[in-house]
Amino acid sequence: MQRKTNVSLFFITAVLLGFALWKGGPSLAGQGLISGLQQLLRVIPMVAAAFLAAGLMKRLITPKLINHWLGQKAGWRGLFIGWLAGSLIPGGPYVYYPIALSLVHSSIGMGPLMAFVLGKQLSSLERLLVEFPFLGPRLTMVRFALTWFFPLLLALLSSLIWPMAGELPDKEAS
Amino acid sequence: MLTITIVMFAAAALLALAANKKVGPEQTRQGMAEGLRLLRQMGPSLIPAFLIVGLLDVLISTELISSWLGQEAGLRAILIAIAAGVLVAGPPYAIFPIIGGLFRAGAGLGPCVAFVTAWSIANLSLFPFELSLMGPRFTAMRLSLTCLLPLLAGLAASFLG
Repeated sequence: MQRKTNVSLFFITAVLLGFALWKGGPSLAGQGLISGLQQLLRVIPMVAAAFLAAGLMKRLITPKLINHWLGQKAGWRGLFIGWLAGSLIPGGPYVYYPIALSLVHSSIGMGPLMAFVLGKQLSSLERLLVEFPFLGPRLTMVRFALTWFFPLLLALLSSLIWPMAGELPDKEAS
Repeated sequence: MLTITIVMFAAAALLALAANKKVGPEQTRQGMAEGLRLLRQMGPSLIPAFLIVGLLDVLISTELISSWLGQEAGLRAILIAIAAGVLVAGPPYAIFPIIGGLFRAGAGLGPCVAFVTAWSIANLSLFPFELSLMGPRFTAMRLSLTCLLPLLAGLAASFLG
């Protein structure tokens, strides 16, 4: 994954570099490369802090803790805890979907389950750590302000439509 | 920029204190070491990502970005951004610098918010995990609940921007 990403990123860089050389010669290409490196140097300290924080979060908020929190909570409290757990847990889809599945096995309701998954996707603290340095404060804050409450809202809606998540995952999928 | 850097280091320091208290100094050290290892791992991706940002800066004029992805491009720009958010796969630290660069170069707040929202909930790379672990019914339900969200968030952000 990492390697494939790097190869495709370097490929795109090479294409753009070739285009810049063709369009404006070495001076334009050099200007672009220098501008990119300058921007990279500016964000490096922030990115370092973000990764330190993410590493520490992994020690503090473990899948075991999340499972413990979410045990069998129902109602508003379940929704809220699901959302909080999703927003706090670090890691990509290869971490949170297996946890979501284990929650299904411990017969969690649809509301808290949906709140957990959407919390991870829309109001994740770990994601804010990446968004702030790369997207800048304005874009990050507007994005977060407009979407953070949707996990709770949509989870409530889903629990009204389909109260129990017990039949998940579908037989044909497993 | 400096303020955010300070805030983020403060956040890391607070987390270190909390970890030290909760899980002890050994685990705290391990957590920090893991963070630095992650940084080393993704470092190589950051260099081309930012070279792309710089090259796009000099290659694409502000007018061109504005006319495709700017505030005045309206709904069309938001729809392009949503499609890109679904299709463009890759880790956030490779993709977000490019979005941030486009935003600084004249892309509108609406399309950028729409991209990040669509990328968060409906990027193609999510579905192998979701479909295989949670099954098609959960996936369909989650998508039908959230499918309008990138559009709504993008439109709302357009009004703010």
